[in-house]
Amino acid sequence: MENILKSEMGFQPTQPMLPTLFTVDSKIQETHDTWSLFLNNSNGNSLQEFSPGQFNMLYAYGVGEVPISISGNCQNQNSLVHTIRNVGMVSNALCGLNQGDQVGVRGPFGTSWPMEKFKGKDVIIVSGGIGLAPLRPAVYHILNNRDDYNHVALAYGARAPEEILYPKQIMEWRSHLDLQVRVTVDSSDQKWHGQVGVVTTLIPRLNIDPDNAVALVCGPEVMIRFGVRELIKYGLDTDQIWVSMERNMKCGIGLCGHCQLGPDFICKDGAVYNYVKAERFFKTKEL
Amino acid sequence: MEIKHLPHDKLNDLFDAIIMSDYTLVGPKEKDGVISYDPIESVDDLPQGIIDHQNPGNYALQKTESSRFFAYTISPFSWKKFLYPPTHSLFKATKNENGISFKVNKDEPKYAFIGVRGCEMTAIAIQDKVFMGGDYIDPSYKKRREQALIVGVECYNTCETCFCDSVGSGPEIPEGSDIVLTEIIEKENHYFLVRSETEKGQNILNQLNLEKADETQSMIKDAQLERVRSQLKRKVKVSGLQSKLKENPNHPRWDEVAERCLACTNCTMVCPTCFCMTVEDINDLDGNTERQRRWDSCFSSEFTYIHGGNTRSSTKAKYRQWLTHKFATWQDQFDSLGCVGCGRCITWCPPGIDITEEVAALSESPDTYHKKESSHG
Amino acid sequence: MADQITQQLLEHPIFKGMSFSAISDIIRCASEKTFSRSETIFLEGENAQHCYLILRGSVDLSIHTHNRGPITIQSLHGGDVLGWSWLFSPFIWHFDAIAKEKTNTIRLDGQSIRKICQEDSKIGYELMKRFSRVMQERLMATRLQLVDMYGKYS
Repeated sequence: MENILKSEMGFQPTQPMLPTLFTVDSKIQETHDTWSLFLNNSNGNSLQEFSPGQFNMLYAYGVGEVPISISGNCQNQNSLVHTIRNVGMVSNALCGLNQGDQVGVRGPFGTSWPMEKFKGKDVIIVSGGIGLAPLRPAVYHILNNRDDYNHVALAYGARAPEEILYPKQIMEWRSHLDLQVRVTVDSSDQKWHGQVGVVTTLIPRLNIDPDNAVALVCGPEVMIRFGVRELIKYGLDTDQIWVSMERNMKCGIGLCGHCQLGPDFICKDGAVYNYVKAERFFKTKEL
Repeated sequence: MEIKHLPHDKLNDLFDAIIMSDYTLVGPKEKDGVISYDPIESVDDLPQGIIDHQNPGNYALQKTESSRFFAYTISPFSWKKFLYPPTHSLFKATKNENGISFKVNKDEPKYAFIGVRGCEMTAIAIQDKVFMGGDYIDPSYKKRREQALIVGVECYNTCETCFCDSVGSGPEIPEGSDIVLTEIIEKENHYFLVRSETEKGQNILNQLNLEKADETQSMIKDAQLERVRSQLKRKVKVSGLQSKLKENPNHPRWDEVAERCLACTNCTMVCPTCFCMTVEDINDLDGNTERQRRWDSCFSSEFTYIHGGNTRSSTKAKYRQWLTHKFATWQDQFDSLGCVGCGRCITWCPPGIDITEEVAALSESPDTYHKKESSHG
Repeated sequence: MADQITQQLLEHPIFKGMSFSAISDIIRCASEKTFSRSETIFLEGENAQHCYLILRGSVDLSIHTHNRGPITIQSLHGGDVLGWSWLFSPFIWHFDAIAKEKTNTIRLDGQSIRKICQEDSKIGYELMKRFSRVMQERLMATRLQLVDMYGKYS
């Protein structure tokens, strides 16, 4: 009685809960609890296009499925890149995958950072912790199309120096003379010679024209709230700020109900929002 | 649309015609002390003469002398359990040296629902929008829904908990059903008025040799419906409610209702429109796995869990989410109310929280609102 | 030299917008002080005699732990104010301050500033408002650090 449907064609909207199989091409450990997986379509098909800020649902065989943002370069897609923090059963299974292992992928889902809209603007990227992963495609996009953007600044905060995500890449970005890269950690011992303090303290010292700027903010929700406050103090209006929200998601397609926040399904109406729309999410506790 | 006359002893002919068209017949049946919706074989399975008494936190059946097949008002179950089953396989997967492979079951049962009420037809239409109206369509729901035959039966009685009229979902059966029946008993005369609403329904009725109903019979039907409408005691004032709920997330009533609410999830399980689900992976000892979809509830403890904790953990916030969704944010999402006034959540709430009473209290200005004794508390 | 200090004081965020006449008394208790890389500016437990207005460079504020050595809790830069223990009895530094690179500061004599504020309540109130603002911002940042927002449970 069972029809066999091999998931060969990439993500199929007719079976939106059925993953496509990908194979782990390589894997690197980013921090003590975070790994990046580089995936290729198991059937050799080309990769699904995505926009910076979008996410996939990643399925670990027999364990479960979680939303993970795409953290690779959307213009140079040798492989599908996901950076995963090992914080639960499914992410633990994903982080434990090795080269040659298979993983299920559904997506890409959700809204994206509107990079087209940002053309000609100064861009401030504010991120903290693992929040840099969904913003990395935006940084790649800017570097791929550097002429489209004016001054660009990245303000990144981590808990401690050893928890800084993509340190080699950040150093590479630092070597770009037209990219302001500022990194801070919440606290550190004396081996760290960089900035200490929360990520919001980086904002006042950026060299950006607030009147012509846009800001992209992603990190823990507390960081987003205080980051936005600091950006407004710096001179940005709320409509110049975009944020990425996080909620429990079981389907990614607006059917499971888990990610509802007021009238929105974060999986399809978000996760990236202009702050004018996102502001109401922060006004009511436990919305 | 022509109204036909179906003598009560020919009801089984209608059932047979439906069965002959390869449908699995599902209808009301007395089971475990309630009216259940389950597979039936003939009119003998129908709960003849049984009426249901429903009050906040209370449900009881009573056997009467009436020969009426559809004397009860509404079952605790809704048709959701057939169109969107409580557990459903999304795919099965196996893993061997060649890698992982998936299997999807695309076969879905073909149901005929007997006895769909006005509020229930509205609920089905609401879930249609959820599962088939957006960018992503639930393939299992779509297939079950499209191949289902819906036979509506108009209400004859109401329960204390009903409030369909005030939310515009009944008692008349709205568009969407294939066949509509009205059961009438005048003196010795026990019959049904029948009309088809779709070609699918007409094809079934064509197999029966039915006479046209006379006009006085149609008038009896209309009067019966108006009597049912006038018997509805509860109501919800919908106008202006959406903005009131959204604007007052800290209304003192939320704290009060949270003191009574057990977050037991009963209201969401019996609700015919609630659609939340979660997924589970079931593994066997041979290393095979199956991913299942299961009904979930916004009241369940880990519903909003993200790394670090739940984003909605207090009962106050959960109840606020549920009720605000039903009457306010559902309108933003699906352009309709998420409540059909069936009253199931009132009946099956262990402490008897009455959603109509909560809505009335929440409609009062939070500034002038005074704590009152709940009439059912 | 004095003119240069006046200019630097007027431009520093802490005094920005104040008139020359308002800060003329303050200028009299200000002097330039430059620290070389890794030089200690003050240590926990020492008498807090001065307030430092950082012009250029950077300074780490740290606290010494018995098992992990010094832990940096905040970095300060040009435009920041370093230290307010000189404002409050018993005038003792609570943290260590080390110049991370060559750092130019203007050093204000704490006792003299306190005297100015005591005698002229108008300027005293203005200065207190400005220092309180700095403290409020630092407190907010500290509270955010307390949340441990990137930590195990967030």
